[in-house]
Amino acid sequence: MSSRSREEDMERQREGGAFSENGILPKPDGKKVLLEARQLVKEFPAGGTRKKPQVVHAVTDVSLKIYEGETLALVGESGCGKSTLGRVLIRLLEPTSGGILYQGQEIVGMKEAEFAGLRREMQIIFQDPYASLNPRMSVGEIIGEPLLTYGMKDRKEREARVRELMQEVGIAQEFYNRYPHQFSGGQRQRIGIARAIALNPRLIICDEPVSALDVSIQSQVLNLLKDLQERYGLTYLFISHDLSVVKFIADRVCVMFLGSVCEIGDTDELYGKPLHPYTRFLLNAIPKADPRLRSKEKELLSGEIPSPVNPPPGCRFHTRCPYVKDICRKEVPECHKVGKRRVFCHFPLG
Amino acid sequence: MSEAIVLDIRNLRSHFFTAKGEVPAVDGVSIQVPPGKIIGIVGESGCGKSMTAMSVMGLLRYPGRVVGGSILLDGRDITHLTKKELSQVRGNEVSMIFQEPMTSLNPVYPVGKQVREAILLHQKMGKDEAKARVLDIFCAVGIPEPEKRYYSYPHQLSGGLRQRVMIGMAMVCRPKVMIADEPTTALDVTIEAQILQLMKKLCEEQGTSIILITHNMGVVAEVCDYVYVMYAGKVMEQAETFALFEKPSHPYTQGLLKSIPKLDEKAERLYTIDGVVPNLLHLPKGCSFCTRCDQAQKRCFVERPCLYETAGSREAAGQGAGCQGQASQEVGSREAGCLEAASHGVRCFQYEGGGKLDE
Repeated sequence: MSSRSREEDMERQREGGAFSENGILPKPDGKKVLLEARQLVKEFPAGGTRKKPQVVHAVTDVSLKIYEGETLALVGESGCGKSTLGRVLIRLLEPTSGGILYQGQEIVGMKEAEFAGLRREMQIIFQDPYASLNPRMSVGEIIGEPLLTYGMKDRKEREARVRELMQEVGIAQEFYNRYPHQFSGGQRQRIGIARAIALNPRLIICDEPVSALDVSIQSQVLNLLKDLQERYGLTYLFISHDLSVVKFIADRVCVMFLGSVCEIGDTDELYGKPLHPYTRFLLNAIPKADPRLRSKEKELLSGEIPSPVNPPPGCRFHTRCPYVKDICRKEVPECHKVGKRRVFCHFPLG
Repeated sequence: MSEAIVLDIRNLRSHFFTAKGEVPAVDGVSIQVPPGKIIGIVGESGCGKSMTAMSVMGLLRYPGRVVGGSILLDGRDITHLTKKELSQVRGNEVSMIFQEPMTSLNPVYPVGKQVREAILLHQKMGKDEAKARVLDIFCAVGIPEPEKRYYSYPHQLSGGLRQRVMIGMAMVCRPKVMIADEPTTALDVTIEAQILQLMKKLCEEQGTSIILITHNMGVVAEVCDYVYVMYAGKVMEQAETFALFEKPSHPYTQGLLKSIPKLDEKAERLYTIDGVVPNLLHLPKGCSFCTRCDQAQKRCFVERPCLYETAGSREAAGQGAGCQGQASQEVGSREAGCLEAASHGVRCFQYEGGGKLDE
């Protein structure tokens, strides 16, 4: 991948959207692993004294695979490490330990010059469409910036490509010279999406892309993401806390709690029959838009999320789990394979 | 009828006088709140749901002000109270919870003292007695170790606990109405579910009515008794919760419900309402939803629809109140008031056959 010359890069860009059909990238069949995380750990320093420094255990021993062309969702409550994991996977943050294989190639510890060629294939869309666009740059400049960075120096050529992208994401071309504050939240998110697909990436990390949007706008953006994926064979890592949105967009789901994985599996199977107690409570807790499903006494999770500075020993979930047994307090559960599912629990639900 | 309704908002209009022109943020909103019920106001951002609440609380600030209509709290108009009178109502008879519990608590005082302040301001009570009362309410809202938490500062509490403190503060004077403005939006789902259940429990136990402002249809379906759907400063549809979800009548409500991804079905694409919420300065001439409506006729672009009553809504409301309202049986005489609030109204010409509910 890194041996691809700049000319070839430019070629790909000129052809814009056509690159998935022209043979450079075969249509994904969903079986090839695009990105693989191996026992990733990310810790942040959190004060303490010099003798006893404290660390936040943001991501603990996470291994997962993202297949080409699929949407893998990372779900969990705030502070469970899903955003950190997303950023570590494309090396916006360096992992404390563990490895990341991109198309079979180790990218942790790779030299920056070498990694630059790969970085363009991994893009990210951020949650807050108000904070993620530079207020002093016009839409044309914002979307064109990655093109400029990766060598499209000719201004006219760049403008043509930006206009093409704007059309792609549904922003009228006459807005080329407008500034972010002149747009609504939904339109800004479209600008962020245009910027992310400008370099024809393979993998896009969508970090809560619709949670700041209103319901009617949310569905527009979700449809757009799905269309783009179909057209360009994109692979998404979709980070969200909204389980109904995840159900709509994801092929597979990975549920996280306090930095570690609880359960990974196909969306339909996982929603139909959660095996980890946490998944079940999470699904139970969603307010459903149907008053007939209202239940008098709902089975609710008690308590709060423990601190990631001093995570509980053994299973991370044991302080809130109603089925807790002695072993859960002592030993970290190993991976149980049930069909295509992977569950990290001593006593998976039957 | 009016004695059965705790809070009666009639044709409320609040405008903002900006340099660019007059913005009708709340444009003729009527909401009836029966005792001990949870009323939901749903809508997207900018539809005027928060401004309605702020108007009730007398919290509108320059350049906004209430320009018309009345707000009757137990039959007494509170729109034109003096500052002094208002501060006796606020926090005492009507209280409010805000979306972000961090910004609405004072960071430099322990939370217990902040809750106690509410009691000392409104009731003749000694400090020790007030403290005991605070500890009681902390227990009631499910704060573990209340004795210890009394002296905690807001930053030492988690988001869920802070929101519980806020609810405690709002409930401590046993108000008649509590307005909750997006109380669970900043919380995680498992905590959200806990808080919603807590609010429902308090509402039943203490007979406090709650106005719950939210953008989440799921939250509405979960806890509300009646729903008002707002759009561009107007109530588009009002109904008893079961009736609304069973038969959403306004094209906007239908669109909203269809565009939420469902947990129990796998859709290839989501339904979308095209376009964006119109600028309140340049509202369309006719129905404010006409530019985005998929059922719009020529007439919708020229004339403004009233709130019409749907056919058969009275009977449906009667059944609804009968089958699920033990509360309404207890209050007996208030039954009629509940029915009034439950009539299913839609602001759309398709329902012109029904009687007008406003204008």
